[in-house]
Amino acid sequence: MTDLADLTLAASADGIRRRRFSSWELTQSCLARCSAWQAKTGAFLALDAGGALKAAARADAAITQGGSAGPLHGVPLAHKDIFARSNTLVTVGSKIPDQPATETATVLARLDAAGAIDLGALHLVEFAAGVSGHNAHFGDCRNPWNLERITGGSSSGSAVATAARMVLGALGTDTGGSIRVPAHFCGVVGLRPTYGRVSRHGVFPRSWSLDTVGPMARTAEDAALLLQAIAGADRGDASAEAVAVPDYSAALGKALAGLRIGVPKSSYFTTIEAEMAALLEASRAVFAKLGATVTEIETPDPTALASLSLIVSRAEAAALHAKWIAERPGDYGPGVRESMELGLFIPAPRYIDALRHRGLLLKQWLDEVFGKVDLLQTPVFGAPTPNIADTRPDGPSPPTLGEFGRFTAPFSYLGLPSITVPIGFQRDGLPAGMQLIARPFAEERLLNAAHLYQRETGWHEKAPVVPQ
Amino acid sequence: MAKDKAARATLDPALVSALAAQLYGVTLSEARAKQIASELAELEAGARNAPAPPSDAAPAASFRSLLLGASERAA
Repeated sequence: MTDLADLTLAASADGIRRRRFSSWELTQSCLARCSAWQAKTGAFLALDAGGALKAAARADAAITQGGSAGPLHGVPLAHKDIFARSNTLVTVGSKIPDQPATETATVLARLDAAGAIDLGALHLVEFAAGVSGHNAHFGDCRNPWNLERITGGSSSGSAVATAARMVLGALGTDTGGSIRVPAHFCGVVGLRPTYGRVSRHGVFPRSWSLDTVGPMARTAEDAALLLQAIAGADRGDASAEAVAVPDYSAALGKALAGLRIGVPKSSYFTTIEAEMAALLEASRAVFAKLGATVTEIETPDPTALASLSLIVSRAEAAALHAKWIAERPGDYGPGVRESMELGLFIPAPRYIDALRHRGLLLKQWLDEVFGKVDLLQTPVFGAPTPNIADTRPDGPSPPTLGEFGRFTAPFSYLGLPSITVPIGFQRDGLPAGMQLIARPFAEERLLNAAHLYQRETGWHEKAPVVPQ
Repeated sequence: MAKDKAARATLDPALVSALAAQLYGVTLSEARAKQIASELAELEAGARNAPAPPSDAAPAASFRSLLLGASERAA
């Protein structure tokens, strides 16, 4: 019999609804995976097995009593430790926060309302201020495909727990690539929604102008279910736009005939390792087979986007952390305070200009790129997955957002929705992904393309070997 | 010319150290101030590739309206 933890989120929710198995059985199966993987990967910062089993029992009782089941009824999830949960200390991967939250983040409340079970808090880079998965306070998160390799970050635990089948899906946050980069390194789907698609109420900020909350899951179909539950306007967050939320699951399966996928000609996107280029080329052949038209496209110069994105994120992070930097500098891990400090010295006119440029550049990309194609495909990361030891923040080659966010940060700056989808494996057995980008609020188009690609390729069915 | 002057001002490590101490109460080593100045110069150089926005473009305003306007489902 299939281990229940190996089911997709969609199949799990369906199985519980149809009483093929119970939420308690499914949760037990996920907890067994947690037992196998936690000591190896450090994916969880806090795991509440007892609480999860009690919640699963309640979910089963509700089904038995004929109560209505939400779309995620009885499904075990866990989330980056950056979302407020009432009466719980949210660490944000740091030792500085010391007060329990007084309310629950809107996204967690919405998942609760949909019936999901929360197994606990997942690993992240300190204050979401890094891209590799290192954390000096809680230990480095380890990649289940190879424990010596990085997971990517900052949503490291969300990617690992999902890849290792410890949970059926997870929420992460993405400022410059913090969902899409770890999704690439760990071989899962990671969706950064349009800026304003999902409420950030109760989410510890990194950069107000760039932060987004999004799902990480094994399949695009699963990500669609999670996005459905969390998307939409929120009285607690004025930046969550009142744009109608489509039925993401209903949009899956629509044929790709006529879909135009653009591939940037710019050397900014094409200067990558040959192995990664070959994986991307193969993925495009799949899209062509599925009926999409894949064409090379000239894009506006992307080089300024990454710098402007960094100016905004560094300046806003500095505003958020200035008091702690002055009063508690020793409480930051190596490299974290330094990444914030830079923002203290960005002149106000530079920061304001970076925000003023945003509309002009978005218009340029909408006209010159998304006026000609429906989706843009780029790499997520252009080189082999680095070792943890080689990329320590206090080592000789600390990871930088400039390098790790090269392909992701520009689209954060433009506020566009983008998704990482696994496209196979590198020679050393580590997974790799592609990034697809769409017009504002066209998440269903991304999810549908990813869904049909996954149905054709089946990369998502491969799993890291469970430790004995 | 004025733009170049402003850019150069951010590149002086001594100015970075002075700002750190006076504005934020942060003490920086000489090496750290130099590193910050160098990283700022990189950001400046990168940002200079962007086309100039019109003078009446308010921060973030057109960005939001473009996001909503380009939405296929704007309410």
